[in-house]
Amino acid sequence: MLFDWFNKKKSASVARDRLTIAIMSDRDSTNDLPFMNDMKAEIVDVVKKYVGVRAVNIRKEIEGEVEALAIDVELDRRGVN
Amino acid sequence: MGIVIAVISGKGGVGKTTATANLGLGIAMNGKKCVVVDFDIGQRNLDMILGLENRVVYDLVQVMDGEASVKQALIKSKVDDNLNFLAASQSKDKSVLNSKKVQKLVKELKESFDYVILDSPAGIESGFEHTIEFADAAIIVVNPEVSSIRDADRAIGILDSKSQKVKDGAEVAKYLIINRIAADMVQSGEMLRSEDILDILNIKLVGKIPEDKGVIDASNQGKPIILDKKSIAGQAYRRIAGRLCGKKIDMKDVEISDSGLFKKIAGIFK
Repeated sequence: MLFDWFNKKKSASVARDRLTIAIMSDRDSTNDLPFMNDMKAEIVDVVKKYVGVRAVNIRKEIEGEVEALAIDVELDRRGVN
Repeated sequence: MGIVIAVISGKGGVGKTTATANLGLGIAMNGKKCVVVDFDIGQRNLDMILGLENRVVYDLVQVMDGEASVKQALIKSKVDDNLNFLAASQSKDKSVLNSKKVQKLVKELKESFDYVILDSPAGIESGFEHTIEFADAAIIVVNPEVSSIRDADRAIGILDSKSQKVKDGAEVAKYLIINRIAADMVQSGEMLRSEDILDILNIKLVGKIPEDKGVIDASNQGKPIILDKKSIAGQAYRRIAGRLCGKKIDMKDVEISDSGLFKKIAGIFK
């Protein structure tokens, strides 16, 4: 009981974390692409074989005639999972 | 030529109209000619907050439709000659607005006032889009609470894609007001800190307003709280109005003041 009380995360920081994620996904227009979540999951699986992954971000970029997917793989400093 | 500022929030009930009334009056008190316009067609409220509901003869839709002139429809505030008010129409709905009419009205107001402040309806639909369309700047009002902040971010996104200034390749200045801060809750970790809100929304802060029961009392009477020099929310609005008029006023940390030990000790001696 006492242990739980000390470990209880203050609700303001819970709010901050939840908001950060919700707003990121609101802003991320690539979420509209139907295959995006599946593709993200597969990329995570492949990279994870070699090194720890924290997050994968995919953006659609348009420059003139060229459309590209920019893929950022954020590594987990703690290393291989 | 004046500056056009849209007051927006995304979510309703966060204090947008109260902020519009108080900042309009505060700017007027700084000696600037200011007009506040209620863009919430069908849900007129700014008139009540300003205590001018009995003086409305013509509304902004009648002006846009040429049934009345701007001069006929403007209502001068009882407390400050520099403040004028243009009412929303109560009988029509927001579908009567269109870009051409809005642009013409805004242009005309800009010619006679230093500050044109547009009180946006809640939500992110057409009424909101018309309010931001010809704005030079926007004041975004949030409460330190998840749904308000998330909705504000959506509203900012639309502002950044649909305003005429952005379409012209310029930027709309954005100023954040965090309203209804409960210092004791921030201190106990139960309310988001302003730094966190700024991090998430990534816009410039123009002021923080502490929770103040006097705001309801002020709206009951139709006397904006900025007139009450002792009120903590009124003082916060005075500071923000000063900043909007170009004065350098330090940000007061309303998240630590008037709570905690010192107040309790002070209370003993009262």
